[in-house]
This record gives sequence, C-alpha cells and structure tokens, in this order.
Amino acid sequence: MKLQSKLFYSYLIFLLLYIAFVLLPAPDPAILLHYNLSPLTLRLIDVTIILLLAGIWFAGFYGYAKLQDYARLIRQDKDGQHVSKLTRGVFFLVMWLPVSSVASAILNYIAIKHHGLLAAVKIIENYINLLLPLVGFIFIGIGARGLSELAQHRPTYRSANIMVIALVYIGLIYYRLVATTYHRADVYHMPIWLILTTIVGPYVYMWFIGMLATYEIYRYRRKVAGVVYRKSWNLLALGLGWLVVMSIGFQYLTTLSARLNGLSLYWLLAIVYSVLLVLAISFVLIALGARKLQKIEEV
Amino acid sequence: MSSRTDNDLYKKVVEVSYVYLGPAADRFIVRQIRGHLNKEPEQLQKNDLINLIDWISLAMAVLVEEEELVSQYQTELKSLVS
Repeated sequence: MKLQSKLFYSYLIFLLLYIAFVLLPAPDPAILLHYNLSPLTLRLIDVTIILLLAGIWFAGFYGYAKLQDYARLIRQDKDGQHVSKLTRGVFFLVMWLPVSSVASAILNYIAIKHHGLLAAVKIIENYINLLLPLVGFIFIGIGARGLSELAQHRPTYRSANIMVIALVYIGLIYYRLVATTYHRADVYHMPIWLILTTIVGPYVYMWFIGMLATYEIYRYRRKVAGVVYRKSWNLLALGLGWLVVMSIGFQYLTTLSARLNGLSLYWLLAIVYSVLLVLAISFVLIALGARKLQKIEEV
Repeated sequence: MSSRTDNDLYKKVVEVSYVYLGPAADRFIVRQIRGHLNKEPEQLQKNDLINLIDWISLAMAVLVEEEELVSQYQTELKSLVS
C-alpha cells in the first residue's frame, strides 16, 4: 500500500472514530442545561466543529504528504537527511490533532458513563496533548539544527539572548496563568508541583526548541545559497513558526478553559472556530511550502 | 556543494547553478542531463551545452516568475560555451 493511501485511510479512520464518539452517544444533559440548548442544536454545533476539524486534519495530512514526497526525492543528499528529520517532526505535529481529538472524544464518553474517572480522563488528555507535539518539535529541532550547520550558520549571541528573554516571559506568563487560575483543579486535577514539573516545564522546553528550530530554519533560508531554493523555504519556515505560536496560544487558552465555560455559547463558538481556523493556516503554509520545494526537484 | 563526477564542464554548470538553486543545483542539473540529453553527467560535452541551457531555461521559467533572473542564469551558463 502506498504511503499516500495509508495516510488517507488513517485520516478516514480518525474521522469516523471521532464522528462516532461525538455523535452517537446521547447529548450530555448538563451541557444542554448549561447553554439552554435543544439536543438538535447541540448536534448541529457538533457537526460544524467536525467539518472544521476534518478540514484542518486534511490540511495537516496533505502538508505532511507533500513534505514526505519532497523528503523522499532528496533523501540521498545532505539536506535530504535533515529534511527527513524535519518531516518526521511534522508527522507528530499532524498526528497530534486527530489523536488528541479522538482520544478526548473516547475518554469523555467513558467519563460520562463513569463519573469517577473524570479526573483520570483530564490528566490523560493533558499528557496526550503534550507528548505528541513535544516529540514533533524535538525532531524538527534536530532537523533544523542539521540544516543550520549545513549553511554553516549558528544563531548569533544577540539572537540567542532575545530568544531566551522572550522564552523567560512566555514561561512566566504561562506559570502565572497555571498557578493562579481559579479553576486549576478542574483543568489539571493534579497538585501544583506535579503540574509545574510534568506539564509547565516540558511545555516551556518544547516552545524553546520550537522557537530555536524556527529561527534556525529562518537563518538557513537566509544564508543558504540559491536564490530560487531560498525563496521556496519561505512558506515552510512560516508554517512551522506559526505552529509554535499556536502551541503557546493553545496552552494559554487551556489554563483559561474553565473560565471560558462562563462565556455565552456564541462567544465560546467564536473562540473555538477562530482557533481552529488559525491553526489550519499553519498546515496550509507547510503544504504550500513543501509543494514549492518539491517542484524544484521535479522539473 | 557536491559534484557527482570529475567532469569539469559538469562541475562548472553546477557551480553556476548553485547560485540560483543552492543544494538543489546538483540534483537539478543531473535531472536535466539524464532526462533531456539522455546522458550521464560525466558524459557532458561542450557541444551539449546549448541544448542543455535551453532545457534549463525552460525548467527555470516554470519555477520562477522573474524573467530577469532566468535570463541572468542563462547568460552565466552561456559564458561556459565560449
């Protein structure tokens, strides 16, 4: 079976599983009561979110497939080995969306049936959300470092300082949001020291390698020889950078998730739809960038 | 920049192309020679150059919109003919 068809079938399996676990169980009466909704309206909202997610997952899978095609075309060459690592990282980031959404749908279904498992469900959800992008950014970081070494250009002292300063403040804001959020127990279901050491710490580390990788790809794009080749890296670098920014935004938003429950349904939907659409941009950029690079290797 | 053969002419073509295509230059030129001239890079000769430059220009026109860039690349390659 070809890679493309394997990817397509896994996309369909994820989608069907998600649809089944969101639409088949009876709507949660607590949600209907909280937002004053009829079961039909809730189902319609679920369908719009499923459609959006299907689009974003498709953009992710498509972007990965294009990047994989490009990596395969150049795998024997020096840059090819680094692009392969980068592609592996993008694979984990692409899988993060369907895996976390499907796992969340399944776990929430279990939690509705067994209320005692709610805390365990939330904890597992939080770790799934962390692990896949963490592994993804580690691979992207290794690939980006390889490319940067190929262009014989390491980050300057000044840029390293700027990155560290940015990271210190991003980390501090995240720590502040996690530590002081009124509904911390509902979001994390863990003691603060465990949240700080196993969630906040790894996230800040992940953002660091993500930022560093983005910067190294940006430097590679600027310093590597080849006017045409350089330009083709623009969109890919932008897409990866955007994913790092989105990951930071997601985590900030997660700390506020319990507070967001107090918003009206329209505001809540506006936030969910906007986040999903903004996330889709990064995968579309990666797909377009990979297509441009692939074109150089095909003509 | 790496070259796959000891053929000096081929190396020079890759060297010129490196400015435009960077790490993709070697692969690009090998593809043009194999695909359009039906030769291996080490068999490249001076009398193949005009034909090769035409194919390279066509391929570059597909990749970039700036005509100036393509014609600059073409001029640099043509200087290898003389």
